[in-house]
Amino acid sequence: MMLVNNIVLVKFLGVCPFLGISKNIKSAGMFGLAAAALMVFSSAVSWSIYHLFLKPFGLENLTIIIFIFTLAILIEILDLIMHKYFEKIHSAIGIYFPILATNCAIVGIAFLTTEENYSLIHSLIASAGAGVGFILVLLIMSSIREKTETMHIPEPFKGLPLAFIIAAVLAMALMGFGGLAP
Amino acid sequence: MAEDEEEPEEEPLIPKPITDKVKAGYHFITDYGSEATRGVLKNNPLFVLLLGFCPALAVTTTLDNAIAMGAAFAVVFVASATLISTIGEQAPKDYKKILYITIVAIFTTAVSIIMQRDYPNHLENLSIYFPLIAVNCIILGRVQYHSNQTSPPRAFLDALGLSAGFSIILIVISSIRELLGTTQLTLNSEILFQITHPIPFFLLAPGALLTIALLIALTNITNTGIQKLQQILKERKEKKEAERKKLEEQKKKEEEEEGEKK
Amino acid sequence: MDEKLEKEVHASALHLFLSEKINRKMWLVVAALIPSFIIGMQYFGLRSALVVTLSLSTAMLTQAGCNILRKIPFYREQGAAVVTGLLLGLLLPHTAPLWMPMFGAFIAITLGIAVFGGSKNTIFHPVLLARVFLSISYPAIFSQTIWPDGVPAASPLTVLLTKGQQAFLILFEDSASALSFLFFENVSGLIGEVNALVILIGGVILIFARVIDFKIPLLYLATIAIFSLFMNHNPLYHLLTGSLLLGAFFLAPTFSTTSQKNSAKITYGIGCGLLTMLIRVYSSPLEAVFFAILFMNALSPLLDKIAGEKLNEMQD
Repeated sequence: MMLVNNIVLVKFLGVCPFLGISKNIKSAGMFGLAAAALMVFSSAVSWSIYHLFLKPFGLENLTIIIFIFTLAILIEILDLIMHKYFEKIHSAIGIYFPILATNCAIVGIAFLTTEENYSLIHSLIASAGAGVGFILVLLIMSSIREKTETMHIPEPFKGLPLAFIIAAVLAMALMGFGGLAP
Repeated sequence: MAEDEEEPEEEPLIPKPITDKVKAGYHFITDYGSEATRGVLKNNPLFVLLLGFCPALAVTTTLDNAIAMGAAFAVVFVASATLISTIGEQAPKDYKKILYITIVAIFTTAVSIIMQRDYPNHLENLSIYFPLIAVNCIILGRVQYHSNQTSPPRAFLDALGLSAGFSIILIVISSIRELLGTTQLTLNSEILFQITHPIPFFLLAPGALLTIALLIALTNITNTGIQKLQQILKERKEKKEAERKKLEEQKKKEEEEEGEKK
Repeated sequence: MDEKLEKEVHASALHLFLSEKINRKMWLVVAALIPSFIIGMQYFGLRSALVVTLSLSTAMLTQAGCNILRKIPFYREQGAAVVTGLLLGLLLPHTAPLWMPMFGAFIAITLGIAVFGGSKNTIFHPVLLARVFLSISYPAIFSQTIWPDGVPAASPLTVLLTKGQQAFLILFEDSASALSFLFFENVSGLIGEVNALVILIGGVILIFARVIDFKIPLLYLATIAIFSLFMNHNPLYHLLTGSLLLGAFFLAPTFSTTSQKNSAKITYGIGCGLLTMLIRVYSSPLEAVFFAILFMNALSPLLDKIAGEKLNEMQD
């Protein structure tokens, strides 16, 4: 999850914010942290819903609606709770929660959890690993992009194409970690 | 109705009410037509709005997958857009977002049930990226706009246009990747095209990223080229205008001189 | 417009001096690599010479092409192209199909240098980029070791890691002959890897000529050695195989001005060693060096930032 099946560069989840947010290292880090936390949360919630509710009652078809609806509501509740009781953390990472509520990465983790048929602990660890991978890639990407700000990139490649090329090289490097377990 | 100053002396060939209607019809078609076609080039979701890359990267390993994804996306988007713009302003303000998300999710589920029945292979190939249509950046971003600004027919056409733009790009990317990666381009197991030497890189994850990078660079080059062309044409036009004005002034001068002489 | 700016900048004597310096570096690297090339050609035959030459010429042609597209004189930055072509050729196995050095050189120059706007700007080492590109695209060609006479066999490094030191020593008669093989006639690897001595000499020359910083190769090799001791292997077996020496001296320190801060450099060197060992043990032993260094390349701006350097200052 972390490196081999890296959530952004191999599974291609969470690419949209990845491209947009990754120019400032600090905010990238915060965003990554928020995303990672929500990934674990999403994994826990979806595992519970799936194995305790949907599967026993044979309601797999409703997975999509229930997951998305529940996640959206719960994340908003989480946001409110954090705003009230953990103001400091909230000002650092809580601002990203609304955007992340419908982020491919968070919701994707939910679906991945059900697909793999892991136990709850295993799913949590896997999603934590995915979160770490996400943060790592985000930090790397933002530091590289910050460095390329001052380079004379040829016109057609400025901006997004260069970002994709950098992502491609990063993905290539990650392919070397083939046999590593996490 | 200040037509009294220039009353046409002859009766126009076709009576005015009809020309008015024709004009209105033409206006209608171009107006709504532009709603639809805007999404393909000018407002292309991937290359202009810069949204929705997740499925574009993940699903484009084969042409079949791209078409399946594009079709599913189109259905969900168009249906949701129409419904949401019909609801429009009536949604309770605080729950708008959740309502929209739920609507899109419901349509996604509906499409998934249909696909499970008729195209189970395609659904399986799309694996987790199919449910992600429900949280697709393009859809969720756009329906906000639809609910506020537009009428249902417009929303319908807009969504159609954007879906077309999305699908076209997906098809282009997957054609490149499949053709270069495996030597053949197949559609429903029919070989459309073949080359001799594959470049397996394009089937891998980094290959998707590279393909998109090259395509965006290509569109950048094309855009700059078009802009330059427009610039050249504009300058030529202005030059001609300047020359024409010069000639007119010269003529005026000559006429004044002749008038003075007399 | 670009030409005018170029002319103004060139008028400045300082810039002239700097550009001289960079070219000098390039040619020194080339000089350090030529002996490896000659020895490799000796052991692997004419085909290997062809591989390297194709890589070299394609690199220069592609660089010229990119220069033309960017509307600068086509002879600019040929130093970087020569180094890239030469090094890439030396990193290929002698059995590489002849289109491979051409394709690789093309990728190295376009994606590694041109897209980033020139050889002063590269983040990823262009040769590394192309090499990894080829590894992942055509794994079959790189995973097999074929001796010069055409007989395929398992590479010594793979045997060492999968079956242990005993099995490794069975391949050679004893430890001494193993070492002499690996040091002087290692034909089980890539074209440039045959003689470790010339690589070392080349590397040391580069260090003394201030082309590369000694910390990175030193820490890299030291980390590998330490880890190999943990595995109860003779460290030399690890150091002399798997293109490590070439990687440590010619690939790990990159073209552009790498991190200036010592802490970043130290972390970089140790990180390379760590990752290489990990990938060697758990993933693919033969390509480990390349993947590891490429990943550390990606990490280095972050390391710089952590070490406190401002990334936005104009480099060079």
